Amino acid sequence: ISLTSGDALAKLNNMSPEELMSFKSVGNITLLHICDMHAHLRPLYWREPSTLVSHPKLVGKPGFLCGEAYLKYYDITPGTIRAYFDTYLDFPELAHKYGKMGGVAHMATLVKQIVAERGKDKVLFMDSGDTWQGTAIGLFTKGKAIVDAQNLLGIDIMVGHWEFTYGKERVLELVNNHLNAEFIAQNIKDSMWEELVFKPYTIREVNGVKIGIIGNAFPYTPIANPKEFVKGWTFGIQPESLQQYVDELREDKKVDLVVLLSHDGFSLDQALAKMVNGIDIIFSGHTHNPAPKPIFVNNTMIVIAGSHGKYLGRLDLDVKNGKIRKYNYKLIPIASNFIKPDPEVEKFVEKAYEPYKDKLDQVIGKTETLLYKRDTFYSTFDRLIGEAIRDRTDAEIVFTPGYRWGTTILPGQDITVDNVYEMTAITYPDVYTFEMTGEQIKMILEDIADNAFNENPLYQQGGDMSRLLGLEYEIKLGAPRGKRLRNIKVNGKDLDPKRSYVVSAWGGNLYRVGKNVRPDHPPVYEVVIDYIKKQKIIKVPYESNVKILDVKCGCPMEGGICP
Amino acid sequence: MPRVAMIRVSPRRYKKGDIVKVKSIIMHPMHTGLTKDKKTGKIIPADYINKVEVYYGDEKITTFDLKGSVSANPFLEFYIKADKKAPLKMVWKDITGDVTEKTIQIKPKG
Amino acid sequence: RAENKPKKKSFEEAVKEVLGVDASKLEASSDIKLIAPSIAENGAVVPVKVQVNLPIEQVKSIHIFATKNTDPHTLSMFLSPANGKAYLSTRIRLAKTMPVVAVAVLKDGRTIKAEKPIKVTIGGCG
Ligand SMILES: [Mn+2]
Ligand SMILES: [Mn+2]
Repeated sequence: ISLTSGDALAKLNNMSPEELMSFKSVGNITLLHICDMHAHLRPLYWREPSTLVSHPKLVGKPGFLCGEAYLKYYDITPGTIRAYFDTYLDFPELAHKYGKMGGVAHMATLVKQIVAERGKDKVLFMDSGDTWQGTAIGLFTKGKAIVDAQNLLGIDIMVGHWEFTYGKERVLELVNNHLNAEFIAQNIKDSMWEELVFKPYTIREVNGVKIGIIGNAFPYTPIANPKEFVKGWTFGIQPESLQQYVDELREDKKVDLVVLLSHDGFSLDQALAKMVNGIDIIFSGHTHNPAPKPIFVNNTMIVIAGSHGKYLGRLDLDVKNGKIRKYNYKLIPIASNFIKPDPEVEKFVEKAYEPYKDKLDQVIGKTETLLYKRDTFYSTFDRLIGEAIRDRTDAEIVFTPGYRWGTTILPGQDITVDNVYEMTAITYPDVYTFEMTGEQIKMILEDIADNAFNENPLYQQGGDMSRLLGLEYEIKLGAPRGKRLRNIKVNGKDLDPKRSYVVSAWGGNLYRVGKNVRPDHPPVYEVVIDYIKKQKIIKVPYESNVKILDVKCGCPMEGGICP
Repeated sequence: MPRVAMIRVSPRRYKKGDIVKVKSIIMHPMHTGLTKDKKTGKIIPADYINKVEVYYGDEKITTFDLKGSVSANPFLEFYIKADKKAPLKMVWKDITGDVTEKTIQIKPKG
Repeated sequence: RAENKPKKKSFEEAVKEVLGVDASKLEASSDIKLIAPSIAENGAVVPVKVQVNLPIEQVKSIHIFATKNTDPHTLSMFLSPANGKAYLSTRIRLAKTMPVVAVAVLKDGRTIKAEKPIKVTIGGCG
C-alpha cells in the first residue's frame, strides 16, 4: 500500500517494488535490527568497499567479502538492486538507475508496515549503535535530532560506540532524558571500582516469548577514539562476564532466548560466539557489513545490517519452549525511490534540518571523480581531504583516519557543505601539523597495520587503514607484527628513518607523538570546504598509493584467489 | 604520612558464612624508580607500596607483596568468608616507611 | 635510596627469585584462569584478574608476572582458608606489548600457570 505503485524503474529491473520488499512471515515474533546509521536522516548514496582485505587467513570469509566475491558468496545477480546496495560494482550507473538509499522517513514506512502486519506486541526493534554521529545534523544537535528519529522509529534497545564521542555526560543526558530506548552495556564499568555504568541486560516479553538481551558497547572505544570522552570509564570485550550473564539469564531468569546486541564488529562477534556458549542470536554492528544471510557459529546465529541506514534487518522466529524451530531473515534494502516516505517522519526531518538548511545545502563545487570512502587503503574522498589539508599546511605527509563512515558523490554531481560534514563530522575535528622522524612514522604505520590486519579478530581494533598523502608503501598483510610494510617512499624518495618530516593529521592521537606541534589547528571541515570552493571542479586520481604483496586483488575470494 | 584509603564490600547484605567480595583502593603514586620528572628531567626516586596485610578479627588472613609495576592508586579485590561479626582491617606499607590503615566492620545477618 | 632502583631481570630470573623454581617447571593448567584485556586501553592501568578453580584449602599463593617489564614480578598474594575463594583482581603497568603470566602455588607443591598476551597500542582510528 505504501509502496509507490507501478514504478517504471522497478519494472525496468524486472522486479516489482512488492517483490523487493516482500517477506514471508514466520512464527510468533519479529526482531528488527539496524546498525551504524551514522546520523543519516536523509537518503544518501553509499558505495560499499572496492577493496576489503585482511590477514590472508580471513580473506574471503564473511566480514571480508566485497565486489564479485560477495556476489558469488551470497548468490546475487550483478546489476540488480541487491547488487547495487551491497557492492561497489557499476556504482555510478546503478545509482542513476535505482536512486538514493536509506532515510529515516522511508525506513519508518517499512517499520510501520511490519508492526501493522505482525501486531505491536510481536515486534522488538534493536539498534547496534554508531547511530548518533556522522552528519552535520548529528553534530550540530549533539545527537539530539537522531535520538528524536530513533524515538519515532520505535527503537526499543540500543548499544553504542561513536555515541561516546559526544562525551559521557552528553550520552547520559540523552539516555536519561530523551531516548525512549534502553541503552545497555555489560562491558562498560567505572575505572575506579569497576562497577557497571549501564544495565548489562534487559528482559523483554514479546508475544509471550521471554527474551534476554545483553549489550556490548564497542570494546575499544577509549583506544579508537580520544579517551578523554569516556574518562573514568573502562570498556573491553569482557567474554567472561558475558558468559556469566548468559548463564544468569538461562538458569535464574529462565528466558526462552538469549540475544547479544553488539557493536563488536562482525569478525570479533564470530570469534566471541566460539568463546561464549549459549547465545542464540548476535545482532552485530561496527564493521558495516551488509550480510543478506545469517551465519552460524557454535549454535549462535549472527546477523549484521550494513550501515548508513541503507537496510532494515528483519528476523522472524518461531520460538517454543526455549527453542528456535523456524526462522526467516531478510536484509531489506531501503530503496528510497520505491518506498513512500512516512509523512510524520518526513515532516520531522524537514523541521530538524530547518535551522541549518541554508548552510548545509549550499553548493560549493562539483566533482568529476566518483568520491567514495570505503576501501582498505585508499579512497578518492580521503585523497581530496588530504589534498585540502596539504594545501593549507606545510605538510610533506597527510594522515587521514580510515573511518568506515562517510558518503558517496557521483561524477558530475554538486558537492554541498552537508557532504563535507558527512565525511568529517566529528567532535575532535582539529587538523594538527607537527614533526615526526621517519622511524616513528614507520613504527606507527606498523602499529596501525597490526590493528587492522591481525589474524586474530580479538586484536583488530581499527577501522580501515589510515590513508596517507605524500607517502607510498608496499604491504604484506600476512607478515608478523612490525614487519608488514616495506619500500616506504615519501614524495618519491626512500623514507629516511633519521630525518624529521612535517606531518598533518586529523581525527586521531598521532600529534601526541609528534614534536613542534604548530599553534594553528583549523577544523577539518572548514579546510575541506575552503579547498573545494577554491578548486570549483574536483578531480582526484583513482590509483591507490599502497601495493598489496600477498593478496592479489580488491575483493579476493577465500584463499586469496582472484575471481 | 597516612594516605586516603577506601574499602567496599559487595553485596551490601550477606549472611553468615557467605563468601563476599572486598574491594580496596589506596591513593599512592607508586613511583617505580624508572620514570623521569617531566619538568626537571631527573629520575623520580622509587616510592611504592610493597606490603598489604588483611586482618579479619584477630587473625591475619591475607598478605600481598607489591612491586612498583602495580598501577598508581593500587586496587586490590579479593574474597573473604564472612563467618563472624568482626572488623576487617587493611594495612598498606610503602618502601619509605609510610603506613596507612583502614578498618570496616563485617556484619553478616543471621 | 639507590638500592631501590629496580635492575633489569628476565622472566626466568624473576620466577626463580620469587618462587624458587625454574620457569620451565610451571605447568599450564585449566585450573587457573587469567582474565585480562587483549588490547590494553592504557598501558599504565591494565586490569588483571586471576581465578584458581580449586578448593581454597589447596591454594597457597597467587603471583603475577609482566614478563617484559624491567622487573617482571608485579604482585604476590598469600591466601588462607578465610578467603573462601582463591581469587585476585588488580591493575598493573605494562611497559609494552607482552605476555602476562599468572602462577598459583598449591599446597601439594605444584606450581600452575596461565598466560595471556596483552597488546599495548597507541591506537587512534575509529
Ligand atoms: Mn560505524
Ligand atoms: Mn563503530
